Amino acid sequence: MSAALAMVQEVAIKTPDTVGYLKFGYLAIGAILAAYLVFLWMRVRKARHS
Amino acid sequence: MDLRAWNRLLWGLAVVLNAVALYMVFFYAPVEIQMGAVQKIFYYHVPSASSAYVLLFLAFVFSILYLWREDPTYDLLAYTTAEVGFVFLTIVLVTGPVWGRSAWGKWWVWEPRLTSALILWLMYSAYFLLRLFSRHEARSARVAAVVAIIAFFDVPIVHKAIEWWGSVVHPKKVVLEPPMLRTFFVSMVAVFALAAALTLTRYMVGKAEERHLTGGEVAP
Amino acid sequence: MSYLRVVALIFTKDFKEELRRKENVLSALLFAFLSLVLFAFALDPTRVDLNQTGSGLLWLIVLFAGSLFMGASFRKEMENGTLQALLLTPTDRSAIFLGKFLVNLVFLLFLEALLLFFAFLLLNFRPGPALGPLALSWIAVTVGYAALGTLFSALIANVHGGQVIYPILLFPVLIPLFIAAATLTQDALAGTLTLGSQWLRLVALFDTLFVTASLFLFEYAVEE
Repeated sequence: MSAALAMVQEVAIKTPDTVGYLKFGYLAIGAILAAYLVFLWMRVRKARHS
Repeated sequence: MDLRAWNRLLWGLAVVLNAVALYMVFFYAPVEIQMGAVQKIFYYHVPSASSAYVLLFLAFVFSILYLWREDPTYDLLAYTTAEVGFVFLTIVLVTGPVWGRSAWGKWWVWEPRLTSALILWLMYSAYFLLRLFSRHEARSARVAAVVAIIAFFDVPIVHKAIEWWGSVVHPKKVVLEPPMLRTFFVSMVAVFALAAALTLTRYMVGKAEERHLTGGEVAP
Repeated sequence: MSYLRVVALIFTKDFKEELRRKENVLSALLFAFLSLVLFAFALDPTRVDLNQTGSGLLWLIVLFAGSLFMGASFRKEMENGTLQALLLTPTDRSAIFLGKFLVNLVFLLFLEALLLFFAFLLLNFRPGPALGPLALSWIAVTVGYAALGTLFSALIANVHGGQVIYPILLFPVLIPLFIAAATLTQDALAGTLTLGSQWLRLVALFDTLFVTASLFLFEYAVEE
């Protein structure tokens, strides 16, 4: 991951922290999806043990 | 092919497609000159919006079908598509500001499309709140269906109104060179596959809940 | 019994009931007046010209006070069991909706008139020749507001704690109408409002769409 971002960083013309925001953006997507999956899993558990 | 098999297939597809898409986003797509690397959020931001709209439209259709046919499967489908659509809408509302903060310096601007997404998000959070409040009522599914129908009828009107209202029009004129177009196409398909997989999974969770609860009424 | 007779009956019955009981009407009106006063403290009318910045604010008050009144309209029926009785009438259910809708509409228009009057008194609000176009746009917007307000009131009548989520449910859907109301008010005050205004067309579309939708969907909102 860091190698990929290093490559991107070389090419980036704007302020270097655009890469930081890019990372943050995709991490946020991952976090939201992961949270949703956890939520679903907990619902299944609740249903099974009720 | 039963649902479990379909679920495995869809998730397999989604994982592969998204792996390819992410590779292309980070390694293949060129960096846009004006906004720098952060513009690449676009490759997931826009398809998330599209998926959200498709799913919310489906929720609208299933809500109508539920009111018409009274088949509880339609209610589950309505609720499922609305929920997954809402998740993608949330992604849009989170990635938008991240992109905006980096590209234009402010976390939020009242840009027409983002603002419309925000209003949609508010409408559908009310939908879920209502289901939460009314879960003990017998007719909660019907009430929710009416709300989903009204909400979706409002979508084009919201868009028009916000477009006319919007004083800040953002120059989101991103020139898409061919490698960008290819990446965008792949990410679009990847996100849709992910949406499909999530929807089916959510549907199966709903079915499982139905089975384990006596009476067979789905609890939202 | 003919459809229109049912509508008229429900309208008169409900109208008299609201006047007789007074609680809903009075609390909504007082709340509106209070909000106006609060806005005066928030804005300092000696420095702020309401004719320029007040358009949206007045509508905000109408939204809040109106929802206080409308939110309760079906709950009472529910509690008294009168709704079930009403549902037994052989006429199309939408007649009940129309009757209620008209009561809400009349109340809202009355509220708005009072609000404008107090805005004139307290906040130096001077519509002048714009009063005609202003009234027209306010009436048009109120129709849409009353339609969805009535429908949603029926939706939450049975829901435990429904009064609380009623505004949360209603307001987002009304946002386009709200923007239209604020803009139309501003245009009316500036003297630039014409019948061809795109916002009037939006309101007309909104009203047509949602009055029709409410008429159709009401039956599902109250079905047991």
